[in-house]
Amino acid sequence: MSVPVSLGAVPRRLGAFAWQAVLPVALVLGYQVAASAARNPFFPALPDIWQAFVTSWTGPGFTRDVAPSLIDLFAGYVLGVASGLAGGIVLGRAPRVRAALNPLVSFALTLPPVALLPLFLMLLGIGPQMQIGVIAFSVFFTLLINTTEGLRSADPALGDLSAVYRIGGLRRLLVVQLPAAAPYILAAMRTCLSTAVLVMVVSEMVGASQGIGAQTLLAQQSFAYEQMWAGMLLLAVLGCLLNALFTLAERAVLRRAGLLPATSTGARP
Amino acid sequence: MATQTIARPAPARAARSARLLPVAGVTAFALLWEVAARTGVLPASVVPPLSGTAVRLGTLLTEPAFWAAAADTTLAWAAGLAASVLLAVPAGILIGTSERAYRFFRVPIEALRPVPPIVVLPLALLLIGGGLEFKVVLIAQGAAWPLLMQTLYGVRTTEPLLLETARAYRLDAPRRLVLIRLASAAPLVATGLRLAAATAFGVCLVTELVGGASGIGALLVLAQSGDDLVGVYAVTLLAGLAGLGIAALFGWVERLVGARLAGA
Amino acid sequence: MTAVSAPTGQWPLLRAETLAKTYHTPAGAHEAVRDVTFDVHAGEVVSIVGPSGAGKTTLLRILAGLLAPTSGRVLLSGVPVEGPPQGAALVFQDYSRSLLPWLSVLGNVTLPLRSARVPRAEAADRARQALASVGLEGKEKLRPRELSGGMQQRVSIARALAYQPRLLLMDEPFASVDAQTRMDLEDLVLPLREQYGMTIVTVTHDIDEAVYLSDRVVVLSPPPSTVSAVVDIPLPAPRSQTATKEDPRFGRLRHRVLDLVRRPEPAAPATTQERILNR
Ligand SMILES: Nc1ncnc2c1ncn2[C@@H]1O[C@H](COP(=O)(O)OP(=O)(O)OP(=O)(O)O)[C@@H](O)[C@H]1O
Ligand SMILES: [Mg+2]
Repeated sequence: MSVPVSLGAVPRRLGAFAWQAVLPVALVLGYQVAASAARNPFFPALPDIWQAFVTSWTGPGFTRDVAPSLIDLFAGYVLGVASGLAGGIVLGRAPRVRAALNPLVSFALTLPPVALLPLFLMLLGIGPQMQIGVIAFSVFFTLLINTTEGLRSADPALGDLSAVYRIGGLRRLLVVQLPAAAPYILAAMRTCLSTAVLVMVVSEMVGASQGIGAQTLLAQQSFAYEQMWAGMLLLAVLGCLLNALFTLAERAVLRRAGLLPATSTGARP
Repeated sequence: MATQTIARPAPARAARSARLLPVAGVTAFALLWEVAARTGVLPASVVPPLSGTAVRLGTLLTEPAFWAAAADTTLAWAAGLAASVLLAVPAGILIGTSERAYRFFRVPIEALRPVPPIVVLPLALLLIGGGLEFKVVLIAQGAAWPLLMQTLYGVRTTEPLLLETARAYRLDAPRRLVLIRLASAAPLVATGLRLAAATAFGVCLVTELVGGASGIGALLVLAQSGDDLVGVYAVTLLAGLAGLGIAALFGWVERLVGARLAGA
Repeated sequence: MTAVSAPTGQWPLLRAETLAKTYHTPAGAHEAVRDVTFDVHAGEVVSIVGPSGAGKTTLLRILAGLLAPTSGRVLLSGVPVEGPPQGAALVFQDYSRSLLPWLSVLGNVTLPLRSARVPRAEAADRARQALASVGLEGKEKLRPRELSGGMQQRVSIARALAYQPRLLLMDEPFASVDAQTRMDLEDLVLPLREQYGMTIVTVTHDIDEAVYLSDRVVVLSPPPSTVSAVVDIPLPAPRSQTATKEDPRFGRLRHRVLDLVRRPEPAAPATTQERILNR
């Protein structure tokens, strides 16, 4: 950014920044002070949590627990997104099929994905296939419905354009329809990412002995409170980080597609 | 396009098929399920016949244990949702009305929002055990997020012209808040409520599945550990129907609020 | 599927036959077009003028095969139109909505050509030429959003020109460009019919433009629209912004069309008579 800044604006900016930083800093420091004063084993001090974080989640802990979790998450998410997108494209072209399937899709959408864990456990047994299956299932229907909706609610002017200039088949789908539906698809992908993390954690808590969720619950049950906190911290950081990465990727895609101004300043809410 | 027909179906025919198609879809699905299970295309160890599942669902509805579980889940869900409303809506209004307050809370809100709502489960289980209190706390903190975000957004995006007009007419601050800000935020809050209700149901099931609290989720765990596949199908179907009911109820509230206050 | 082909026998290239269109909306039925009949012969330029809301866009969408008339039919060289015919291009009134924001200017113009299996290099060539002819050289790589409204409209015209249609339909194509560019575009369009054998039907509010461009002007009544009159424009070709517009006949024709557009309620018998006289 090369906007000329008046001299008075600099302290004001600094002030604004400091104002935003007060609460997070206070929360962290406040916890540390309270925890080291109270000496309650349920609330370990920050350096101890950090210590546990490093020992639990790096080195062998990473390969044993973190990596499988992330692989399951990624595999389930990609599988769900790909199949949901494909199904949504099919339904988007077949309004009658869509109408016929509507009650079933609504049912699957409102069924909390975690409710499927016992069923998937029985059908697929304990293991990554169960985790991947439930994650993919939870992602599939949201993508299905949003892709369909995005295709359906596209500007009718684009339909006229394709009809007059005889733009058809794959070209119409890839160049006209899917980009027009992109805002719906991206919004669904973002929502699904949070759901997928949640389902991953719960599925590991319910039916796994490895993975971040399993280890965190195990730590709680075996009174290893630093480790439990380290697990909570990792899950929180993972949620934030994936969301931030998604935002970056989304902006890059939208910018390349010319749907965002080439230079934008400041983050949008 | 191979065919670019411009003829559209007559409105009456379209309306009738719009009503019939969903019925046809559900019927076809049910038939397919039943036939596939009966003929062994889908082995009974994977999908038991729909008829058997339906019968089990029926007997379930006559068992007191089921109604006790349903009551536990409903109570926790309702109490957690109510707590999240009491927590998040006033907080959203307070934070959203003042730009300074908003900036003060912005960083933690943005950072914590994408955190899965069950991260604190182990800690809560540790501190308050696996009872109703535990469920309510977990549900409230999970469901509060969508409500807080929607309320914040609604209050912050109040049409500035409306606010200025109100000031020009010397409306006092409480009236400005209620008549202008809250009225124009209400549709978004109603959307937040629908999202929160769904989240609350999901988190409630998690507390029962993982935390062992009694309820529908515990029934699921029970059926699964007893290797009772038909029971798992029946309870899962029920959970889905409950989710559908919640979505319908709060979707209706959302539309009602939207219709009442549209263009406010 | 209908295609725009050379006129056969006694058929005109395009015939609108007792077209009527009633929209059915939740608010009730809305009769936009009541009874419109006219012919367009190959190589002609015909303008449709009428007050705002007269149903001009509706009519053009029917001609383009995008909208089914409630009654009546459109014949292309004698063959009824049932969908967008091959070899016809339409410049949409709502130009910004008909450009794809995720494609560059060049991408937008080449898209129909690539769909018609024109090789990439040739498509790009034709697109560049068309863009240059509407004064948009050097803008090929920009996105539509980075252009002004008038420039976007010219991209949409260039897209139609690069397509080299036999029948070019335009809905108020010059509505949001400045006066100078407008004259340039008018003079760009006229030679096209010789160059490519194009037949052009254009909708406009602008009486001067209608008279200047056209061989005939179809005047629509206020809605529900009927044809008030079809006015022949026997001005000599080639037309020129200076000579043609200074021609006293131009002034008289202009006056005549203006009167027809303004006259609030056309008496039905007079209309019919006038139509016959002007055939
Ligand atoms: N899709 C539609 N559904 C219902 N009514 C419509 C529709 N399209 C147009 N109309 C109505 O039909 C009438 C004619 O519309 P149309 O757009 O054809 O007029 P127009 O002559 O092109 O106007 P303008 O000069 O403003 O472009 C208007 O009253 C309009 O409201
Ligand atoms: Mg129009």
